[in-house]
Amino acid sequence: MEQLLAEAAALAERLGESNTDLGPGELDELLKESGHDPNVLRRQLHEGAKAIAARLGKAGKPAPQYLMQVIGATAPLGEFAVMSKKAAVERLRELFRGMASAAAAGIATSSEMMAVSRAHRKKSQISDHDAQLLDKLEAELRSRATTKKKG
Amino acid sequence: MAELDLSGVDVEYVLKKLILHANRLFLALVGLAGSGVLPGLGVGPKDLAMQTVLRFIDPEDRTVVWKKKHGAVTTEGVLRYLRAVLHHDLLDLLRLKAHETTVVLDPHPDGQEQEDGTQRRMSLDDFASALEGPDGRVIREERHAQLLVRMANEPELRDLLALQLDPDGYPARTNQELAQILGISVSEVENHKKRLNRRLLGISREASEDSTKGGGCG
Repeated sequence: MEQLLAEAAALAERLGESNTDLGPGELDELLKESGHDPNVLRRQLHEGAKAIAARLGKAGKPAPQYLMQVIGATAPLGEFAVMSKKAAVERLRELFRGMASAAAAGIATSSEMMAVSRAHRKKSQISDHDAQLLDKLEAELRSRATTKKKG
Repeated sequence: MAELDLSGVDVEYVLKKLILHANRLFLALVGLAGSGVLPGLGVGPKDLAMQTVLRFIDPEDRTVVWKKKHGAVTTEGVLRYLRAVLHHDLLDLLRLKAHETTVVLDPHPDGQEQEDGTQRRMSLDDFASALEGPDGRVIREERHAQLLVRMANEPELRDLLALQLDPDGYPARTNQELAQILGISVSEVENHKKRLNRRLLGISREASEDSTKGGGCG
């Protein structure tokens, strides 16, 4: 059976060689063509992570930080509206950290995330200090993305 | 031990790539053993990938744990690790279902099974052994023919796939080599590869829909 699976894996690799270095847009497009709605997948991942946290909570165990990171990173954008200012800023920080590391890893970033941060700026829901922090992070991200593109 | 830090990992991206990878694995299994192998598994590529990721982020699941030997916690690193986990899970699943899953040896030329029950069948276990035996090459060629027949209306993709499946073509031919063999330009090869990829994902979708319908034979 190992041989069968090893052969299948080699064949899969060969058939999918053009799937390497996919940006999020291309990835979502391919997922749609294989019958998966990317938004549904994101929601299912979010719900699955929340279910784990809920199970832990019920057992009186704290959810680890990394689990909360996944829950935060996959949260529907509408959840910003019901977050406290502090939680929203923390969430934005996480988004920018994720974007910066994605850019450093050569993975294209989501324009959706950028739009969310701007939305909060427009609504003046963040302090001057946090606004400066976001500006700094955005500038850093853009700089890294530009460097990556040129390189 | 320090707690895992996933702040630099795009878990959603990992899940999506893992699903595409599982799709290709399932498709390759169909290419080798026929679509009948999938209903017996009772799980599709998406479910398998989702389970893998959720086990990874579940602190109470001690079977999928990031260890120091895996290196830095990056998106690519986590993806690489979870691919290996998914392979192990699929292997376990195949072993578990090997006796109750049957493979049709001479399916109808259009890829469908005949309904009169005249096909020769063998268990997945025996089929896997047969692949390693003297008839292995013949069996593979028959299986590949089944996949190629589904591309009958797109000869340019069928020809490219035939070259990709060719066991004498390992290691994989370069685009330049493929262009020379097919008598087309390198950019046409690249374009055909993208189309073929999309076409195969479509076939994979059909196959995985079969796999989630359940049932033990095929």
